[in-house]
Amino acid sequence: MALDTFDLAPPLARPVKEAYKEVLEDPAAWAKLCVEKYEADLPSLHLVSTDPGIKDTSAADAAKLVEDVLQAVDTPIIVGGSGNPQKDMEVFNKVAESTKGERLIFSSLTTDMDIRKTVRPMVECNHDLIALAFMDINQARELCRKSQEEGLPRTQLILDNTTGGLGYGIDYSFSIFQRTRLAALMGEEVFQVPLSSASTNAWAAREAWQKPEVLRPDDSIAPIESWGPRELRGPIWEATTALVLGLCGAELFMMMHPLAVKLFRQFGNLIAKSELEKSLKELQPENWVEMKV
Amino acid sequence: MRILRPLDIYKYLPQTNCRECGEPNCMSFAAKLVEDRTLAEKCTPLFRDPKYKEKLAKYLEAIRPPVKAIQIGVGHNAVNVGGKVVMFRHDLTWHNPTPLALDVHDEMDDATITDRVKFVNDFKYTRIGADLTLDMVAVRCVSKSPEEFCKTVSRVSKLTAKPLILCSYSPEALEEALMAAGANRPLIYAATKENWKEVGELALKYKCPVAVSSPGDLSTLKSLAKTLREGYGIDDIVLDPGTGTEGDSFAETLNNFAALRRAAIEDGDVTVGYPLVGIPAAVWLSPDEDENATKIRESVLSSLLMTMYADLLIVHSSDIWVLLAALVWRQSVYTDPRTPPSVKPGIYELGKPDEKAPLLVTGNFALTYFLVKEDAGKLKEPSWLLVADSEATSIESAVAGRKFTVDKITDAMNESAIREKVKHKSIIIPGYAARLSGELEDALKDWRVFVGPRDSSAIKDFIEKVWKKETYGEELTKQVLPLDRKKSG
Repeated sequence: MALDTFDLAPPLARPVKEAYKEVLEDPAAWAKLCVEKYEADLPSLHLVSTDPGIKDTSAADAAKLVEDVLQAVDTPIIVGGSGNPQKDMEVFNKVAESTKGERLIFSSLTTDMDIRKTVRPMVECNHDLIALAFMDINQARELCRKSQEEGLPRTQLILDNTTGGLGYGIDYSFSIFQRTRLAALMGEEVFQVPLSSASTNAWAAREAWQKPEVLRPDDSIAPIESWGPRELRGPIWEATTALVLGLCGAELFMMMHPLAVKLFRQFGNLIAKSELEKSLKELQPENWVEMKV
Repeated sequence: MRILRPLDIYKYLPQTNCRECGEPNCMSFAAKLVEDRTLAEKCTPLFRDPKYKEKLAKYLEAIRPPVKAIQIGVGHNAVNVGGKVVMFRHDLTWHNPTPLALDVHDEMDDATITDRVKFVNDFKYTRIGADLTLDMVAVRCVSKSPEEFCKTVSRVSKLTAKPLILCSYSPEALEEALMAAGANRPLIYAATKENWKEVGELALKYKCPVAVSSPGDLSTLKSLAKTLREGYGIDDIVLDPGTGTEGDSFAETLNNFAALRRAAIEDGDVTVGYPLVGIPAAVWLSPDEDENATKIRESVLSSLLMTMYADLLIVHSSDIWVLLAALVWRQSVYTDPRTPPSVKPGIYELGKPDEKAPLLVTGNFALTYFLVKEDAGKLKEPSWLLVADSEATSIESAVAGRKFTVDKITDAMNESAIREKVKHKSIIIPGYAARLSGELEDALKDWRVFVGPRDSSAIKDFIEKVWKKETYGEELTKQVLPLDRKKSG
């Protein structure tokens, strides 16, 4: 479970911003907060400012920042790019080299990048790489196959099929995650890699963060109170997105809201538990019929 | 897993090519039926003509889904639960979206009951052109008094036309309630290993579907269902394997749901080929100190049970913020994966826009379209909405996946001849497509490209405070002709 941090904070929903307001300008402090206070397994650092259209931060400066963040936490980190294919490759190459031996995760490789040039440094410097396909099983297959052909062992490859948040394309993600995982279990070797979900995307849904006054239909009879508190809606949205995709195979999650993380841990741990302490029968769930609530 | 082929059906059809079903011949009807693109009942001669009696029986047997569809309630409020054919929705689609039942009980005061039932009746949240609703009311017998239970059931059935679930383990209480409401095909909950004889007889007598309950004990559940099916000839059954909400019993719950569904679909086990009921309301057996924490658990549990094959859910919380995530997940997972929700690319007129009206562009994912349309509809004036083909994905992922591109936007502009319809030569693109703005300006030459808000709820502000000012100066309200402003900065 990774928590997102940014070298340049994008517009964030208020409940999310609230949790990070003291560290938005300081990626190293942000990462530290994620790991120490919110118990992330690792932070995910998105180097959005490297985009030539945004700030064009140089690969060397990006590498320095990665170094600062690594100094601040005692976990590995996920190094995310800006989404600009050419620049991401440049940044990844530089950072891969300067962090050789740290075994970081780079996010992500897309079809419009030079696969050979992106993958080689990962192999040489022993890092992990996330291949990002856009809800398209053929694209996912091609990315996984090509990066394995370039020498990346399956133990260093992670597949991200793209996460559409709850109500915003999650149905596509649900089926693609299931299909790639089923294909792997049925023996298709290229897919025998862990799956990653950017569950933070759940915040795209306006129901996750907008005020009830805006969301409520004009003819709604329900009292306004039953819409709130909006601080709880977003975390439910984010945790539901992560857990539903967890049920169809995702193993690495990028998230944002501390309460979503707590919920995710609470249910995720229950689902993944292999030995039962107390059986369903002993708990007598049939008593629900007569409970006095 | 059994997916039907056209020939599996064709052999039981009249094979007269009468076209009453609307298809050119019986084979093509069979082909459509296996793809779930027509209805079984549309072969009217088969149902009407006594000479097809034998064929009809075999036809119904052949098309019976591995998980039977059970009707609860009557009239247009009736719900169908189950009717599942596949484990994975990508193999076909999941039918019959999981109905949500809200509970009431016979020790609640009248006002509470009325409020809760009215909430079910009136709940409506419109999303992507569809209404999300609550579907049923579950009435629980808490008082242990058949008379009290019957009174409450009668009151509830007067308050709503939505189907009921009558919840008690006492055959006496159930019978009292059935005398009052049995004609409307409520679901009887539940037959257990203690009361199955009496409850089975009630199901037969009142011709109502019945739930079989055996929490945490699948072999008893199975033998109860088998007894009712084979011994009593009851075929309208719902299975309750138990919903554990505490600690690791939740993992066992999900495993049980999956095991039953797999047995029905993959092994063709007809004794468990019935819909499954999940009970998120059971979180209230172990409430947290903070009430909201329990409500959140109920919300998340509802979505997870639906993911793991629950065909019917009984919930207790009546807060929109608790229900909405589950309802939206239901809407998502029950869309037909073969036809992604989309609208036709092209130009849409919101109101009666003229040559001065703003031109907005968005993608053709149905959700995106409906949201933008709704928000742009709140503008002071009409507007043009240009829908480019984003391959039915949201703007954010379509931009990242190169599905919403400058070419797609210019294609849509060319096909709709929108350049001749507006004079101001400006176009507003979504905030998530900001990175396309430079390339689009190059492609459109003397046009100005505005980057609008990421979320269309801010479009009104944007039009008023940015677009109008930049496009017309501040003179528009005085009806001065538009200024031909060049791009500044």
